[in-house]
Amino acid sequence: MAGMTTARAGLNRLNSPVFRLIPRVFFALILMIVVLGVLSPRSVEPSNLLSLIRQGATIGLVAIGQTVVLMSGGLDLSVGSVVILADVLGAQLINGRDENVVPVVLLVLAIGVVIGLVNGLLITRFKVTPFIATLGTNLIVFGAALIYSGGAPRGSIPDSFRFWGNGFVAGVIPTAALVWIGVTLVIALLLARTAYGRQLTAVGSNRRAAFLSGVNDNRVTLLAYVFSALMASAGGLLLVSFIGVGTLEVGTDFLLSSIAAAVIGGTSFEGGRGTIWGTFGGTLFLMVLYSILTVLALPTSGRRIAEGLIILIALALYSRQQE
Amino acid sequence: MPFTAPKRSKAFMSTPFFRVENISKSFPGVKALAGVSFDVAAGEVHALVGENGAGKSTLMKIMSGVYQPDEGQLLWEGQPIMLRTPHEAQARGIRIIYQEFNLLPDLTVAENILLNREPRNRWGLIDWRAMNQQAAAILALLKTNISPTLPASELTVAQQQLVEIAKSLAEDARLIIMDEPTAALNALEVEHLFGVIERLKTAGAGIIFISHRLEEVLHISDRVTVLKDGCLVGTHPTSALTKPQIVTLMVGRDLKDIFPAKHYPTHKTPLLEVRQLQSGVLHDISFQILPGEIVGFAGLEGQGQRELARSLFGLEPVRSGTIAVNGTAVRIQSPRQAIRAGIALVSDDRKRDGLALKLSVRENIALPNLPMLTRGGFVGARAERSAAQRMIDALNIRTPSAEQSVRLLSGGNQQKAVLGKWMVQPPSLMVIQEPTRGVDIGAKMEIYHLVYQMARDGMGILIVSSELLELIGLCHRILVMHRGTIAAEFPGDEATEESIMQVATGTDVPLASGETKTI
Amino acid sequence: MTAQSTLSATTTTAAPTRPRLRAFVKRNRNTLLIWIVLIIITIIAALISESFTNPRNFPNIMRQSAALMLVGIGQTIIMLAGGIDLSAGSTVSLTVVVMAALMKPTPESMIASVLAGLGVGLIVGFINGTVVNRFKLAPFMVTLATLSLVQGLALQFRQNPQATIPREFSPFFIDELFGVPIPFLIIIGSTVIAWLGLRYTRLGRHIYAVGSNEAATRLSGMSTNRIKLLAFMLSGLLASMGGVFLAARSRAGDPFIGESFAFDAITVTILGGTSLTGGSGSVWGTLAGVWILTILSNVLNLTGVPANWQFVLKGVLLVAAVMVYGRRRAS
Repeated sequence: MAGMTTARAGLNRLNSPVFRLIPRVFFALILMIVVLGVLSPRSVEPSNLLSLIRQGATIGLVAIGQTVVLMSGGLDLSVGSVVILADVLGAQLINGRDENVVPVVLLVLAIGVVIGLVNGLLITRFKVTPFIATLGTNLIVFGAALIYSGGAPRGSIPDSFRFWGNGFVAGVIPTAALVWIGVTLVIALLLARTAYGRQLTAVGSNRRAAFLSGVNDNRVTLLAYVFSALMASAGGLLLVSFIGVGTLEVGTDFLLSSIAAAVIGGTSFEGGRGTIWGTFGGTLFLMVLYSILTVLALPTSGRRIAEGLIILIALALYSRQQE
Repeated sequence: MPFTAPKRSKAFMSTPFFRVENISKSFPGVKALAGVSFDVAAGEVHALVGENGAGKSTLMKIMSGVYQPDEGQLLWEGQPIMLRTPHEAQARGIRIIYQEFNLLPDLTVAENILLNREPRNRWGLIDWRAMNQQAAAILALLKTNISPTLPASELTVAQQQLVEIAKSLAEDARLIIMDEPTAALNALEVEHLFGVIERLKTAGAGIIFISHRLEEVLHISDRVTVLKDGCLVGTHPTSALTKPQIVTLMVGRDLKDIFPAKHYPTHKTPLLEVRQLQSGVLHDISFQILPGEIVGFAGLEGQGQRELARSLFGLEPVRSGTIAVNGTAVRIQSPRQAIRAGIALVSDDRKRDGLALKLSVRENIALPNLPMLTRGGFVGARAERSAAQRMIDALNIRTPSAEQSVRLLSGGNQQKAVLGKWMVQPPSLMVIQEPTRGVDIGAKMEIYHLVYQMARDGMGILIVSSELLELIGLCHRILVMHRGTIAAEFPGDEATEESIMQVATGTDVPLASGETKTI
Repeated sequence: MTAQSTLSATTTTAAPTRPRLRAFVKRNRNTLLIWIVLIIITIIAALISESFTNPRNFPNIMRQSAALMLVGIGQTIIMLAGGIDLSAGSTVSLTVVVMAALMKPTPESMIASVLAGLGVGLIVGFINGTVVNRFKLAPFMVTLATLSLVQGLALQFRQNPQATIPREFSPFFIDELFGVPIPFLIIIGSTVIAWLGLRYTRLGRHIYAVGSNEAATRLSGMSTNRIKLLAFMLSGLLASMGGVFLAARSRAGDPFIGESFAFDAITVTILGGTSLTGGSGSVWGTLAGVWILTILSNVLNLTGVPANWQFVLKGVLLVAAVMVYGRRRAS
């Protein structure tokens, strides 16, 4: 408890106008990087930090979509399965051939859009709660991925496509990192400046009031789910481009990490509050945390425990600060 | 048994057993109570009156353990006590009937009435038969035949009210606080309620009776305490007061000072014309509103005023009938269509319907105006800021800046922010439900003047309010609703509370005097 | 006159049987509906697969459904209170791992291990409830965090090489008693107890009350925090009971053994007609949900349909159930 109070006082001190524009998670992130540096100086060399950003890109993309849905006051449990499906489809359909890359990428993204539409329509048209609707599609999409791959993903990725997940721009900057930062920039700008972004936070904060102000709340919600599924399938493609083969193993991790990244970044589970930059910071925070755990030789179990604890602490801190 | 309050001789004006002294309470942006003292004796009905925002509900919540006072103390039989939770208040026999209903929809009527005091058999298990019997016995006292086994979700508004009252009778109640218990009841049900109150008095319980209906206050209470702007105006024996005196005490100034002088509209072409509207509970609704006219709708709760306001804004499916704005018939099936037709709605629950509380004043004001403020999909930041600032200035919204979260504004300023949302692009018709609910007197006068100013600028205003004085003071015409239709129309200058209530309760028996007229 | 007609419209004192039956049907519509679905599915299963009607298949189905039913009862309780428990699956796993680590083939050790296993659930439930109450957080988020946390603990505590449950422990849970499979007795017994507890104790009724309208319940002078805490602890306890059964059935200290249980338990609870927002529902519905899921997977197995179709089927069932119930609620 004492630690929490100090941390909270620290947060409050950062309330001055200069700092207010920076999502608070970045201060925690710096702290974590220092910790990592102390434990293992090599890990904080620029090239290693850059590769950390590369590894975060997949989760980062998924988390951006999750953030938008959370801001609308909803929840997307299907992201994990969508990542898996995109990954499996990508590997199997591209099948090592350059000429397949563009059509398959477009197809996979289109499938993402369709899944998002199904989620969105179930929620807006058929009034199924987001939890159930996306839990249902999660099962269906996961089943589809299993059936399609027969439980053993095949296929491979040509070098031209591996460039996105594994390559470098100008020899040093990971392509995936650029993609992630680029998407973050664009989405952050769009949400801050467009009417849609404003309607999204209004719907998340008070759907009724937004509806009574003439906002088409159903369209706003629908778009959020479509966007989330699109980001998840893009994340899946980036993942397959990074690891080179299809995998069925990553689902729950992506769901949990995407929510964790958003929450650590300051997005409210009740909707109406959240920033894309916060989620960017939240994702990096998770990546640094994982590195620290690896350095401490606490791989799987430690990672789960730490992730759970970090979510709880973040929730508690932000809930305090609300009052 | 319900009325097992401690047996005492019916000692009117016996020493008060519960007293609050010099109570003060503040909320962000508003001082709700300042140094108020109040007491209640056994076997007494003590009425608490005051306008919206006078501090009645805050006082009530302090007496029932929901709020803690900032200053002052509570004395129970002379001993200082703390009521930290509703549970502690209940343990002392304090019961409260809230104005907003607090029934549990999924539970049965009997479970609601006997919540947390369910009868149990010798194994500690709930005895459903005894529970239903006890509940039925309590309901019988109210002369209603609501079935104890009915789920609460299936009750009508009036039945819910009766069950709320029944809840408070279920246990050794020493003090029963009734907040507008008659708001949804018809004349006969009110009579039954008064019969119950008399019996509770005889049994020695103290009763705090809060009502807007001063006839009822004069009829049932022994003492009257008047609050105004969070301050105590005074406590008087009811027998020493007349209705006009109470009104003067409540308002604290001449009605003329509160309400602007009425300017009758000059245009004679109706701005809004509703013909033969049927929807849900509504039937045969026809009326007109002229440009610059303020038309009020009065009636008991649940008689269709709410539905009427909602159907003008596309929130109730309209079965048949026409709505014409400025001479053109319009189809209104959603708020978006209503807004396009030039109609705006200020709801009676601004926190639920009016404001996105997490967002800033600027963002809230911009919300319905985003189409106008947007160029090529992007919101014009400068246009938005200036629209917000214009409203803050024009409506005198007191906020440190446009970036302040609306959650932190006082009730009155929140209400002005809701009006501001709509005044960026003024509509033809403004529908306002309960324009001054939960608003202090200063903001109240400002809101009246704003409404009045809007009307002078040619806007039509439709007001639904449960405060008759407000309707009489503000409106050019008052339409009274009863059972889903318009039962009577009064010119604003001729309407009186008595004449309105007579129509609203659907009876020709005026409550206060008791004399019977036949039509 | 006016009052008479407004009030008499809704209620007259119930005439015997007929209206009472109708009221019963009306109030238990969701439960009855899902039982009808269960019966239909059972008939279809019997028609398309001969092995399904084989007498040895019945104990088999009961063995497959007992753990899920125990966890499902816990989930039903917490969902009736308006919450949700995503950590139930991890709790099952941790219970099994802890029991596997502790248990020796002696009666004392078996009892002690079972108690330790049940303690796991109580502690997890206590943490969930306390954090939800204290920080006023959404149960979804809190239990999502503890899902991860408890899963991590299960991985941490797993023995290397993987510990197993002594053979002697299993018969108590999977044999027959007077010719009736014990899993069946466990299922029916726990359902009846849960039903009685929810209907005939104050805590049970107050769990419904909190889920129905938490603010109103608090204003009625009850400690909603206490009720929610107890509901979370019951949910945790029942998850651990599921874990104990699973330990007896599988005898493996697998740290991922319970992974699918939280979402499966939510699925069967929703299938059974319990409202996700709390306040209405019944463990009998959950029971039908459990058996529907188990029979479907049983039949898919017997007829040689790839197991992967189960996921698709589960998803479709879940969404369809909510759409059907939602419709009814709206009308």
